[in-house]
Amino acid sequence: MLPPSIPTSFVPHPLGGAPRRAGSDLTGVFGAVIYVILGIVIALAVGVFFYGRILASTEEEKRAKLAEIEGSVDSVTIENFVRLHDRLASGQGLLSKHGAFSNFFAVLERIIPSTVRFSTLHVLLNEKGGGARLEASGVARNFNALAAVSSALAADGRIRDAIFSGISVSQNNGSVTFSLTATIDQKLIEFAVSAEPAEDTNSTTTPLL
Amino acid sequence: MMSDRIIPMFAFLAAIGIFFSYIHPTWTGAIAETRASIVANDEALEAASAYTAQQNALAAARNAIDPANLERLSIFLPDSVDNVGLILDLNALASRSGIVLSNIDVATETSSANTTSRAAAPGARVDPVGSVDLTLSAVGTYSALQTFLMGIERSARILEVRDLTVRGSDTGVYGYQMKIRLFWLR
Repeated sequence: MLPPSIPTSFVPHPLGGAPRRAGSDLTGVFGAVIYVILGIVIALAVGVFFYGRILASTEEEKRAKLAEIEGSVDSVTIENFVRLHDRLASGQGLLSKHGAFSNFFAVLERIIPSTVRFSTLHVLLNEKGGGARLEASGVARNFNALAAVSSALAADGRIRDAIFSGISVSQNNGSVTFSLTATIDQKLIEFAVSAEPAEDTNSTTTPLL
Repeated sequence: MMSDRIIPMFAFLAAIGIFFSYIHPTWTGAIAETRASIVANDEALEAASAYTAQQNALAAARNAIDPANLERLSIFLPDSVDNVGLILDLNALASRSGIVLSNIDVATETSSANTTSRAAAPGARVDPVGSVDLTLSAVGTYSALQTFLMGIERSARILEVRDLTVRGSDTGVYGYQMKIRLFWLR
């Protein structure tokens, strides 16, 4: 006979014990993940804080450097450079279009025969584009002289579109009065740059004497 | 047992709260602005560096120009109109050339037209060069006129004869009317 305290048969434990342990494990894993996330977030927050401080310091440093450079910029020097540039560029532009009527008169002297003389002569530079306009009136000794002028102008080619009008032959001496309009080529009135400097530096207009 | 679940939940909420209340706003707000400002400052510093280099190069180029030539350049295109001084010079030139000036005036309608046409261009940089026309009458021989014209053409201050009328006579002394344009740097 066995003592009554000794169980006579195997009695299994209730099945509810195993699921309770599994739930507890899941809670532990969940908690661990949460704590890891919290740790990462806190680390990020600290990182962002210090990164912000570093950036602010860098920005302040660059701003101070920029202010220092800006302070060293001299507006008068810039203005002088700009004016010098304008003077050079504008001067070059003006010189390239600089008209010189003296060359035109020299050519006119050469190609107009002495039997023709002008009573009025008007030369006007074109505002837009190069060249000039010539309007003149004069007297030729005879019609042949006028024809010679017409031929000479055509042959030269730099006084173009020469139109003689108002042609009138005098009954007394056979002289011919006329009016002339023509276009003067830019090349004929272009200023030729001389290597010689202006002689008189006190005066702005220095004659070639 | 309940605390095993509640504390992680609080921790989770705290993490979310920290992220959305500090990290995200700071990153997209103050830090993004600071970074943009730093980029802008870097660009400005780069431009300042280029400016300094350019200024040094320009200063070297300017110093390489003979000061006498710079002086001539400022006479060539002066800073002011100074038409009175120019009239005195023209008078002196005329007397040296043997031509007699009888009347000198400013063609005001032309100068105002030049000014308005330049000012009318919207958005365009104002032309740095101003101009005004002087009209003058003169009498003299043809050779005197040639000398006068060459003097104007070779003037140290740029002058341009825009319009010239010659009236003949039997005496060899002709009458002249001309329009001379003078320029200055505004």
